[in-house]
Amino acid sequence: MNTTTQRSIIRALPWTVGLVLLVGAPFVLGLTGIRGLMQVFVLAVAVMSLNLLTGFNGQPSIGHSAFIGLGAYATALAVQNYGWSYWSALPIAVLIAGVVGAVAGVPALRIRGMNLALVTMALALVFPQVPVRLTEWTGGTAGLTVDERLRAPAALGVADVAWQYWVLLGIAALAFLLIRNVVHSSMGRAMIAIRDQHVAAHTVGINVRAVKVTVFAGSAAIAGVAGWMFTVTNQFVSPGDFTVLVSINLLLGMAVGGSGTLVGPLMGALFLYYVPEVLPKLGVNPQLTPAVYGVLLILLAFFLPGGLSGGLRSLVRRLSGITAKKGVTTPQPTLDTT
Amino acid sequence: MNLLDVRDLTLRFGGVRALDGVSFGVAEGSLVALVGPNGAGKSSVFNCVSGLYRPNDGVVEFAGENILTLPSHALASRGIGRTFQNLALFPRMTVLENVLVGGHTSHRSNVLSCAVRWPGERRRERAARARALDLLSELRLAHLADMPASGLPFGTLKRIEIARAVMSEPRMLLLDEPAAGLTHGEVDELGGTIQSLRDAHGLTVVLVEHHMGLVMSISDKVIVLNLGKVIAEGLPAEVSNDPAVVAAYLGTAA
Ligand SMILES: Nc1ncnc2c1ncn2[C@@H]1O[C@H](COP(=O)(O)OP(=O)(O)OP(=O)(O)O)[C@@H](O)[C@H]1O
Ligand SMILES: [Mg+2]
Repeated sequence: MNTTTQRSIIRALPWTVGLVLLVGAPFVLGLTGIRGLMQVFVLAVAVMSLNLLTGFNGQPSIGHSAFIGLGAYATALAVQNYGWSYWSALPIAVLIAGVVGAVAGVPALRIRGMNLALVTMALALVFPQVPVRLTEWTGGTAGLTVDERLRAPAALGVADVAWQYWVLLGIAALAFLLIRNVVHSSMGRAMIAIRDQHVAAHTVGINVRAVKVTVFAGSAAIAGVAGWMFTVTNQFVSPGDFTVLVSINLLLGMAVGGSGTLVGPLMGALFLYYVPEVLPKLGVNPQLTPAVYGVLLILLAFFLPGGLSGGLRSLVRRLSGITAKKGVTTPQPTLDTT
Repeated sequence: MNLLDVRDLTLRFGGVRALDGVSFGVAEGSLVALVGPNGAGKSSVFNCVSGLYRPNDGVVEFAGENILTLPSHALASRGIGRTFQNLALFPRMTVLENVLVGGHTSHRSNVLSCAVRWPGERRRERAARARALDLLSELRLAHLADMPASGLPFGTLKRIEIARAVMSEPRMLLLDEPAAGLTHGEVDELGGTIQSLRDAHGLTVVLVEHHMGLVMSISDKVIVLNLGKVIAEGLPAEVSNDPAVVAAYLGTAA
């Protein structure tokens, strides 16, 4: 066995173990634990979609709550008001969010940075008003309860909630895999090139506008998937679930996990779900959660500028550096780094 | 046959005339140097030819096509590659990835085939990697392939930019001060590298350079620019004895 395959096996090991543990979780964890993990999967896909746009392509968005809301409402309305199945609502949720994302991506070509953030924020501010305007159809501020749930295929003989859990896990894993493939492809290099050095991106022949709009649409479509997952999990949508604060929380999760990294959104999602869960148990007044977030963000900026995933990576590098050094018997030429 | 024809190019920045009626031609397969004192307008010519600046007046024809109406990203696929005076690399990518970005035009693929790693997409990616590694060896950078680009010496970064530009398989390569920051020995080596790249890849080269030794030893033709105007054009030996050129250089030195 050569060292490359050895290394890739070692690298795949934690992922395989993690996935096996997650797949087996319904047999071990209680209902609360399972429901908690489902919320983590929703958040993970939401942060992944934001990270694709903002972390890898450098286009800031405070509008992702709206794209998630579109997917969630499209699903809730299709299932509750029109009697569709959850599965047939999924492509609709993706399509609606993706199309609105593509349209939002067009003005984003002309504006950048802070102004783009403000335009996407307008989207996030307007979105919760829409269901209120259409109260007869959407239940308005009171929200809309979906009576039907995503049912397990009878042949499997498993509880519906376990099935929902596995579906959400599968979708989150698939989203992770597809995003990883894109990031490691020529398309991903073009995205990063635009983020870091857009003049050079033009001169090597990258159609910067086309890539930016594509990424905006793709990111919004994935946010639509997160919306579908939200409705599957909660069987309830209300305007309050998709306020601009949700967008800001997603940005926080992305920054904490490490923006522009693949693992970052997973850590960000764990953070966003478990920190508010744990804080009251530690005796912290839940109303102080935002303040705790603020302090954590400042600490992070100082001590872990690469986010949790950056910190983890340098820890792994340091540990593997130590083991590598142990294995070396002949003196190595040192690199002149002056 | 001229591959590049620049006619009456005029570019103003407010009151500054960066270019003032510049005309010249570059024959296919030749190595042409564009020289002149600081602020003469050399980089501005490159920026107009590569679509980054829109001139106020004039024509730029490449392979018989007026390219001033094309968007800047379309010029790479027409066959124009360039490097930058002050570097424009992607600092958070590795050296190899930087070069791979240069292959964007010959490696067009859509998001979906990237997302599912379609066999065709994998094949293209493998081929691109092999080609990028070959180019890195040609520029004696192969040992740095997996290093992050940021933090490498300036002269090395300049060579990485050349590799990135050649990766797009250009017909014409614009090099903006490739010798800046190199030692004497490295400059000689660079001259050889530029010539062998030209021969191996069938390039037409336009070289902006202050290092006169390099210019004189490898150019087929030298164009001298001063204050946005062409003041001399000819063989290296002719140009270096031209009184107008001597005056322009002495004038800035005084
Ligand atoms: N983006 C810009 N905005 C304003 N003025 C500019 C700009 N680019 C170039 N200029 C001006 O145009 C003139 C020509 O500049 P250019 O960079 O083309 O010179 P150069 O010949 O490349 O000089 P150097 O040898 O110093 O690189 C200078 O007076 C410069 O100040
Ligand atoms: Mg210049």
